Amino acid sequence: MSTIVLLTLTGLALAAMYFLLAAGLSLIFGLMDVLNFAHGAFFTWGAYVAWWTVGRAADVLGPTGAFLLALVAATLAVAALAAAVEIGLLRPLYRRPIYQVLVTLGIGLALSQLTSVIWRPDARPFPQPDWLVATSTVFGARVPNNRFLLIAAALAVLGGLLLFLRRTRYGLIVRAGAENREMVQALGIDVDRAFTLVFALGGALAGLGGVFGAAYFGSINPNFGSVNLIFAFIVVVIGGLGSVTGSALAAVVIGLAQQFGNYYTSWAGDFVVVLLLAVVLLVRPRGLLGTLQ
Amino acid sequence: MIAAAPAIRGAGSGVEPLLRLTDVHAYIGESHILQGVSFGALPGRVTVLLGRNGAGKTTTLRTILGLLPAARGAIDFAGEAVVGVRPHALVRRGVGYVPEDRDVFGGLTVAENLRLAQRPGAPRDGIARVHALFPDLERRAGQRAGSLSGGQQQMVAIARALVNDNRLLLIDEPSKGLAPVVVTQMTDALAAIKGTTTILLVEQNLAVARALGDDAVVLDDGRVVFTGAMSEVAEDAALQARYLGAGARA
Repeated sequence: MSTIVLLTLTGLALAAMYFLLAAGLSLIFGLMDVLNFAHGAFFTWGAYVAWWTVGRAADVLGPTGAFLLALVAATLAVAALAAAVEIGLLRPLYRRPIYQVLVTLGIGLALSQLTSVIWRPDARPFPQPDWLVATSTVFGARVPNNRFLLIAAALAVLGGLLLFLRRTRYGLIVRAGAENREMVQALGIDVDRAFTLVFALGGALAGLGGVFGAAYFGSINPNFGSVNLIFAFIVVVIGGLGSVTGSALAAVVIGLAQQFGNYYTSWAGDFVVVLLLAVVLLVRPRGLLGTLQ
Repeated sequence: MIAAAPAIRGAGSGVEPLLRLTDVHAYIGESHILQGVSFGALPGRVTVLLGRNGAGKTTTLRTILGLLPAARGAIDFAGEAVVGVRPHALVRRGVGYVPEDRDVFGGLTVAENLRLAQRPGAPRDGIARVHALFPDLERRAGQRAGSLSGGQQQMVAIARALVNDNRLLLIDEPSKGLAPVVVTQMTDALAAIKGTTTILLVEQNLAVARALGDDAVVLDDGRVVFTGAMSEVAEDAALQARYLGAGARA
């Protein structure tokens, strides 16, 4: 029983991390039709900004204060980085989707290399407050507290995103823009501004996800984001392109499948994920909750 | 009057057109669609843009709005050159657009479609006004626009253009694909706003054009071949046969 509980909660925490990464990807693709291959590098940079911040702030603010500051710093720094990428590199290419893909791929590779150059390619332990690495007992299973924090953060982000999409004017613009960008412009709305906002929001989520991902794995390295990006793409496709709720649902399926698969065999976790992807693509190509054809 | 080089209607009358196109050329890919289009839309009047399928009517509206770049020529709105002005910026100057295929946001509710269209600073009673014009939309405010009938979607598309105090409305074939009873409703609604704003209306249905139009511009192969009163077109069977063809429904 305790093993099932542990696997379930750890699987949900993994799902939460995938969701934080996938939600930004899904939003960006939904509005902008941009497959952002730099998203993994944003995730990595979130983790490294957090690691750097904690290293400098821990003495002054204490472990918890430094961790909280790292969350804010990583979120804002990666949001700013994403906004700069969108304005400087993607905006001139909106009529050339293939170039966009190549540019995001190039940015991803360049940022990963830059991470290696600045912070060296070897893995670094990620410092966290003691209470986060301590465990709580749930039905006999000892679960690290950072798993609960990760799940709570993902739920908060899901709720926040749904409120943003359903209750705010920018949310309306994002939903309408996913259907027909030209008509949004024809209503007097500056779509470029909405693109920058959504790209920055996606970056912010990747940055936040990077911090929690670092806490989940306990260490970071320059390829940290690109490995997880593959699963985030699978989550987006299974959930349905452009659907945040679909991404959340798919992340739970993938996180649990991977965790249980890896526990019972040494190889089945990733295999089950790819199998699920294949089944969804064959049976329901638009994904669980996707509306795009 | 079938003009080889049509004059801009309103010129010399003392009334300046709110919208003026002068020798406008536009391309779609390699195809030269607008080949020197010139005409004006007088303030407070309904100017109907007529012509066969492929004559360049929709392209004219899209070029005015900036959705398609004008390769050459001038477009003036309210006395200011607007070629190169981005579509959203032009719309904010007071232009409403109802596209040919309605293009309502199917995943949004009727209320959300209208809220999205309402620009910051728009009159607060804008939505109440369109509800008065289209009572059905108030009843269906919470319904997804994608689940509405074609006529109801057309109402949403027109209502979106009316929630703001626009100076110019560009309306592309509002009767297209609608049942006759719905066309009548639509015509009545547009007649109710006639005179309150300037309208440039693309319309293949001659009965609708006649009911609403004050002035007419006939396009053929991307060129203006007639400008004059709508009543002249309505009475000129030869012009109708030559330039409107089977596409015009009486």
